[in-house]
Amino acid sequence: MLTLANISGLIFHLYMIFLVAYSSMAIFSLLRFGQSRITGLLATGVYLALMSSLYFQSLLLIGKLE
Amino acid sequence: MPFRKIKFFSDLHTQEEVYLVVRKHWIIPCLKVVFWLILLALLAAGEIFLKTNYPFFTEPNPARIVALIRTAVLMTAVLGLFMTWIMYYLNVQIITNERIVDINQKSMLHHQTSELNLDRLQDVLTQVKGPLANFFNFGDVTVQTAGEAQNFVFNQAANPHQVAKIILELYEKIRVRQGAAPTARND
Repeated sequence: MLTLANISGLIFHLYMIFLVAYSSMAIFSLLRFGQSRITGLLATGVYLALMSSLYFQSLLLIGKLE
Repeated sequence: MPFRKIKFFSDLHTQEEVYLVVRKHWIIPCLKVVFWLILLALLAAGEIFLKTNYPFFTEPNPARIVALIRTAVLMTAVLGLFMTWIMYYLNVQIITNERIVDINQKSMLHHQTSELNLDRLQDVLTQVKGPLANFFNFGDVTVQTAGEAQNFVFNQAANPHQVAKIILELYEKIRVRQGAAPTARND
């Protein structure tokens, strides 16, 4: 059924696919070509924490849509 | 004294020591960060403008849609900042007592490494151009090589004169080690 929540969720998750693909390439290049594995892992951890918190915030917003 | 003794890249020779690790000046990625911050500030201003002038956007559902768009833009900004840092971190020139290694990350999956033995060095040029470069002391260092080998250019490197001085000092050391007379310099 086409509800506002469904349409918003679909558009948002299509955009998320792009973000995840781009982020994966970025993390791959950082861990593959970076001089320090620890720095790479730390930066990746901070990045993933920020992104996942924003993602869960978005899921809550989509869930509240009527 | 060598800059650091840790291995910056896997194929460091046994007698080789890293003397200098050159990246772009910190102001260059900072300018990109400022761009993202301005973009976020404009979007925040736009959101405030919409909510104050159009009461429709204060109703529950439209407000949530606006918040969702804001979150998506924030995610894009976080990715943009992460990419800025990655490109800053991965583009590096390493100067050892034997060679200069230029590690160039052109895009995320385009990695290029080139090397120049210091004994093939012919000239080192520094260029500090513009008010920002003079104020923050960054500029281009061009390492000219003998023969048909490609020149090395360190773009927007911090302390370009210091970098050039260290390269020339290492070159002199190599010449002395090889038994050649040191080159007369005026500095």
